[in-house]
Amino acid sequence: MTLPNVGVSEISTFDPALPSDLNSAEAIQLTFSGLVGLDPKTLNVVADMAQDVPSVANGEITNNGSTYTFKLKPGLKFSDGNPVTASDFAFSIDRSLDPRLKSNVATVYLGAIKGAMDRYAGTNGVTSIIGTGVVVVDPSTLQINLAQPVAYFLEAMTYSTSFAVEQSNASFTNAKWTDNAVGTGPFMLKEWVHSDHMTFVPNPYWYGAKSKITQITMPFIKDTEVAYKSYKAKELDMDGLGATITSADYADAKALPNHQLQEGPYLETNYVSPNWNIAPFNNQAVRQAFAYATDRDTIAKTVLKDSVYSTDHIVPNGMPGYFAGLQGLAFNPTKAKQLLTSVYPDPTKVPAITLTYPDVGDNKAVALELQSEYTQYLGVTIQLNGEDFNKLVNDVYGNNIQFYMLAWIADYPDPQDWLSLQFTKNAPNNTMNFNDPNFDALTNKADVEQNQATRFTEYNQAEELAVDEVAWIPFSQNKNTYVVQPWVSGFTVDAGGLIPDSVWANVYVTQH
Amino acid sequence: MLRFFLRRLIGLLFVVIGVTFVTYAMGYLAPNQDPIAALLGQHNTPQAYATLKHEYGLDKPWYIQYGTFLLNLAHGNLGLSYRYPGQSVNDFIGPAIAISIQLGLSALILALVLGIPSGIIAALRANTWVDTSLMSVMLFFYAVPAFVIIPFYQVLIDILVANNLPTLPVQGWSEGLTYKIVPVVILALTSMGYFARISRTVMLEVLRQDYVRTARSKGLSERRVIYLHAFRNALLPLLSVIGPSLAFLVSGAFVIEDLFNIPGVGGAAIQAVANRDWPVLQGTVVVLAVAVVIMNIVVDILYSVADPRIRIQ
Repeated sequence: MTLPNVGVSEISTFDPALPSDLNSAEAIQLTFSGLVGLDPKTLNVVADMAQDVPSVANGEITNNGSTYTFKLKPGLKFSDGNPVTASDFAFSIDRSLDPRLKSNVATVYLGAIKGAMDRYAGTNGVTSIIGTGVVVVDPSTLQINLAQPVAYFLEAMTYSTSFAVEQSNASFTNAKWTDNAVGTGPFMLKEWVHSDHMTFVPNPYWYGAKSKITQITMPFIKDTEVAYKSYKAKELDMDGLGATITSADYADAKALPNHQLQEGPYLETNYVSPNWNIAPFNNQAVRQAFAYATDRDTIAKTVLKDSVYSTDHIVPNGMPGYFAGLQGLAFNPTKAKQLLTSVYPDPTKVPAITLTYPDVGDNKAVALELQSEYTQYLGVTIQLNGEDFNKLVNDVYGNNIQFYMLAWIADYPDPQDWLSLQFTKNAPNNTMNFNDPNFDALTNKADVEQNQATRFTEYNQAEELAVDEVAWIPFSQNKNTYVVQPWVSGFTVDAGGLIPDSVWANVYVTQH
Repeated sequence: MLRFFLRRLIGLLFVVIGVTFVTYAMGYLAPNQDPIAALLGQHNTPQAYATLKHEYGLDKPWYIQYGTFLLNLAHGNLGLSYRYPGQSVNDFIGPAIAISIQLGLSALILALVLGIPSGIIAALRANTWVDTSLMSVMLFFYAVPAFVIIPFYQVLIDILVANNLPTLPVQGWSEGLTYKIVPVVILALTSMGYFARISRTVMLEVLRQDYVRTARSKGLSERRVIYLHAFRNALLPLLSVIGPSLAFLVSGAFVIEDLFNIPGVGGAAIQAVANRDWPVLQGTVVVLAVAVVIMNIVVDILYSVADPRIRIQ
């Protein structure tokens, strides 16, 4: 099966400790696996190499949510036939945090573990967290101690920074070890021609249901449009992995026979954010006026040609904890004008506003549309400033960009990633200076609450506050779009853009 | 001969230092080119930024960073990539060089094989319809760059696919011979036009020379006159344009490699710019600079072989 990895000429890394991009994660997901994984449909945490998902009920989450115990399935082996034990997981987690690896994601996913931040920064004499943060109880039992309770820890554990690597195989200093990487996933690496393609064959020691696919060829195709043309020329079995079908090709893909286009929500919200410390956005009525004046349907349908969903939610559809009943600030130009004139009776007296946007892809078209909408519905003049994406992200952390457009992609499927991490008073991502003690109280409680239903309710209430008070003005949620040839059955990609291990048992390719 | 090589090697050293310094300065001074920000993406918090910048040694002064690069280069080490953690630039560029040479040489041979005979035929049939038609076609290919031809090819593919007709591959390189045909042909077209036009001019010049007239008056066959007397002498100026045109071929390969998804040096350089991966970009620039200088030395040597009057000093 030809499974192109689109948008790159080479994956950044094949080391599970390092990936910060979807393209690398796609390849890693085939070859490595962890204690827990995600259900492809619901994105709920499910057991992978662990016998079950730790919970308070089964006694595997103790110490007020600070200690997690994982019991390994019996008979687990790496693809070279060596056994997988708890000490392999302890090694793998500790290794991900090793400063020599320079992982820029390890602390995002493992930072909650006791000693992890010091291990990563090499501070306070911490050179290992084995025995403190990660404890090998016996060969089939691993205990993880957190610095403080966090209820989203299991979701974070589904990321590859916790996947098993073999101690005799993985190196700390020689990145070329991945050319002969040994893992525990459904496939194993057969060949890697750098900057060209990877080839995978089934892992004979894979513990899950066997796949009927005998070989996967993963060419790297950096140009999305070239990949789509190649798909249409029947050179590829699917397209859209690593980079979804672009808005330019979306209509064409939708018209392909046999429903080749698959689409569903992707966990990415696009938004504009008003800085609460800079006029005129230091006034809630003004912020709300802009939210009400945002015609999200026109952006989604006309500007982006239906390649995205229009949304006024912060937590995207498809996430566990998604708040279907959220009363957002839906497009209402009359109300928008009323709110603005309640503060500025003469809209020409509104302080100068500059909307800074990342000048890449369709963002300029969206910025132009927003400029036109705010002029039309509010009577204000908006200056546009296109910037390099990375510079903009850098700049917003200075907390002094007045009005900016950005997007957030899920790190792990938990509302904490979208709310606590973005808007609590001291959150590093609180670059719009959102400030509501009620929001902080709700999210602080939800972050440690062990009852999932209760914590989702608390997050829902917090999201309602952030939307009402206008921390962000969300306008669209990306679609997870990919095309699959009619001769491929059972293939599916989850809302995070990855192919969960369990999918492979159902995939087969018919004669064509 | 030894002095010639020594002089060229010293020149090469200056070229390498010059191009790496310019590339380094451009990367260092250009706005929005922070590799750490690019690495961190949406997780670019001030704390994470400071930690990673320190780990990559980018918090050191520029002259220390550049000095370290030159020191490593003297040991044949092009450094580590920013985008591909832990991967050495040497490992990254090695296979790319092989592919670029394959592409470049195939295109050069094709361009020479088609271009030079076309130029000679045009010169022999000067000012006839054969000359005009051939040179018009060659001028067209010379004038239209690869990045204009490729979209036309892609549109052609769209039409063929829509009508369920067979096509040559849209992208790729290593999968088989069919994948190589279109990139090589498109890369060869521009150079082919160039060689054809130069060959025609040179050949016309040679055909007007006294020794050609003498050869004809001696009653030699036209074939003998052309191949033995005229062509060999026409080769000399042709050789002098092959060297510089190799650089032209390389710059053309940048576009071809990028648009056909070919993992060569050109494609790697374009990706390195997009990724702010300055070590990889510097590596590709060093490789290309060295290649162009070496090819020029080779051409100088060939020059002396073709014309015994010239001796390398």
